[in-house]
Amino acid sequence: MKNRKYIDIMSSLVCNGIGISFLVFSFKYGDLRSGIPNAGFFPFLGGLILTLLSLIMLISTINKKEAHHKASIFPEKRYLKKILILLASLFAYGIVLEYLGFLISTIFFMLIILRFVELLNWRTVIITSLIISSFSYLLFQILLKVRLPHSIWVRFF
Amino acid sequence: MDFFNHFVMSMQVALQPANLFFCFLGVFIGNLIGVLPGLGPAATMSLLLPVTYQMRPVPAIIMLAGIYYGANYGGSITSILLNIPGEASSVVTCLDGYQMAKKGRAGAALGISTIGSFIGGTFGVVLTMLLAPPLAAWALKFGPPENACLIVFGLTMVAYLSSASALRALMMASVGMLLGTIGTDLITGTIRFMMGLPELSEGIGIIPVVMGLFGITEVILNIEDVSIRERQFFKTKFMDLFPNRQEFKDSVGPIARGSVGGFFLGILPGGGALLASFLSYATEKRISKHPERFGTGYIPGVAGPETANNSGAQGAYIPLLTLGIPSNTLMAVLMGAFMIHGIIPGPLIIKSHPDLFWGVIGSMYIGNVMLLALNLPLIGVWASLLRIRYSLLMPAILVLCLIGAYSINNRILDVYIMIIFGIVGYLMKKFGFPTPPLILALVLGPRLENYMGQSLMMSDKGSFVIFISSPISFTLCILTATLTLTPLLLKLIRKKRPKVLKVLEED
Repeated sequence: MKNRKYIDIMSSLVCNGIGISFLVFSFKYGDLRSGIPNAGFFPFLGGLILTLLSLIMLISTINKKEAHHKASIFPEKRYLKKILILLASLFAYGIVLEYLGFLISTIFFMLIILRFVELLNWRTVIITSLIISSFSYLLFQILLKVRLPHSIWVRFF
Repeated sequence: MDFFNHFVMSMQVALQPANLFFCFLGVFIGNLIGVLPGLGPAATMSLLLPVTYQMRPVPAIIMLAGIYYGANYGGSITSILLNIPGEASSVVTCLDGYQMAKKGRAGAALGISTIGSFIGGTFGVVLTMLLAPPLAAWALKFGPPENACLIVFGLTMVAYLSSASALRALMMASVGMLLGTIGTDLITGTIRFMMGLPELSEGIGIIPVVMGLFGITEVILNIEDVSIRERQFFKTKFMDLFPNRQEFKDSVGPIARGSVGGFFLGILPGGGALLASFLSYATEKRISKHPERFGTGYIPGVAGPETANNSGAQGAYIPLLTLGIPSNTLMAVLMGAFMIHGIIPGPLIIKSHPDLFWGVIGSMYIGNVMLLALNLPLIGVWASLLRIRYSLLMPAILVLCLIGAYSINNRILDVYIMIIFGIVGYLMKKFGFPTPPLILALVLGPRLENYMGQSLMMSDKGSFVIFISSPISFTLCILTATLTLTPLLLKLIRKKRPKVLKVLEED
């Protein structure tokens, strides 16, 4: 995976796949042979352009002479772990937000990020989590009147 | 006389108390996020878009517009004091600004940066007032074929200017166009590519995409960035803020050139503050009598780019306000704001919403004055914000993004879209694919489809000849073709040249 050429080939194949998918599924939206464009025409055109461009990229990458080996573009292990924790926390936040409500979800989210990604001590973690969560609640719910989700228990009672 | 009347009208709207307040709020927030790392103007504007739902259009657009040019002022502070650009358009300021700070001239660098930004910004506003009405009048001649060709030309230009690899940029523009087809087709009413999610009938939406690509992606990238957490910066006093006589003299030419050049570069699709600042630095270095001094703490290396980026930021509003074509990502987000309030930006906006058009322009002048007042005496306050640890800022940024995404439609799907695009943006950065073409194509794609559809319905049996039947659309097609084919031809010529030389040698 450290090979830049390999990465370029993979990314051109992914774009090619996206283009072909839109191209194929565009036929579902009607006849493209009539003179007036219908719902499938623009996705067909976009899919065709993307497929052709990604093929050009694929061919030019394959023909390119291998460049001098450069450092890996992927993160080191210690950063990769933090990135994965961050992403898992973000998705988990999305899952629990409408069940636990804004305040509790945000506090737990902050605790995980500050402790396991930023590696701060527990005292700083707890104080910062409470401050940021309360400030966000005041700003969005009270000041800007944005409807934030409440816990299902609050809604129940 | 027209200019005077327009100026009076713009001031009448901009000086209303509510508009003044929101102008101040916008430039203040812009300056703040320009200073603080992690959250840029694009993500901030997207974050505040849902909040503006309940506001009237004029103060809402004034506030959002202020964030863009305000961020350019704030971005120079981190460039000079930390050698970390607060905004992309402040990257070149690091080259000489930080070196000036190391020599004990941080105050002079900050001072000339603010003064140059004010002059460039004001100059840009005046030119906008002069050029916008005739340009909008000319754009009224555009029908659907001309508008379609203009969008294609604009996207092609963005692709060539926004990235070293035009091929990758065009690929991202195609992806953006395809993402724009998700949801309801405006012409036939057909719902496309819902993927089993009824919520997608309204499309993906630009706000979660921008917040993901510019907010979440930035946070993920900064996990690997050690320098953002270990910062050493220079203190400066208010009295040290003014350059000396020689420094002022050295700055006059760069400021003048940056004002003019920056504005016209800002108008170009793919242009704006970023392109203006880079080209200004390159130009100043090329024409200078002392090019060897650039990069060592030479004041023209700060004065020129900082003037150009603010002048360019003002110029970037022209295509959006007169032609309805956003020239960069920030203008695309602003276009989203217009559409949320039921206003289609373009040549008709001067007639249909003159208070909005002139109010926004007038507010830019007032906003630049406010930023001058905010930055010169309060530089110490802004600089002290740099002490806030990024470790504490980062979770706050994430919470703002998460709540911002949720509050668009009060649904979790937007949060997931934002997170997914955060991951996509990270991979795009790593694999060398530029983001602006994707955003612009996502916004312009539905309009392009609409104009193409209308054009083909107007034509004889759906003939594509309609796109070259008028002088304007024909010219735009030629320009697009030239832009697309020239790099390929140059590449071919360069490949053949060694063979020709070899043949000549053999002869």
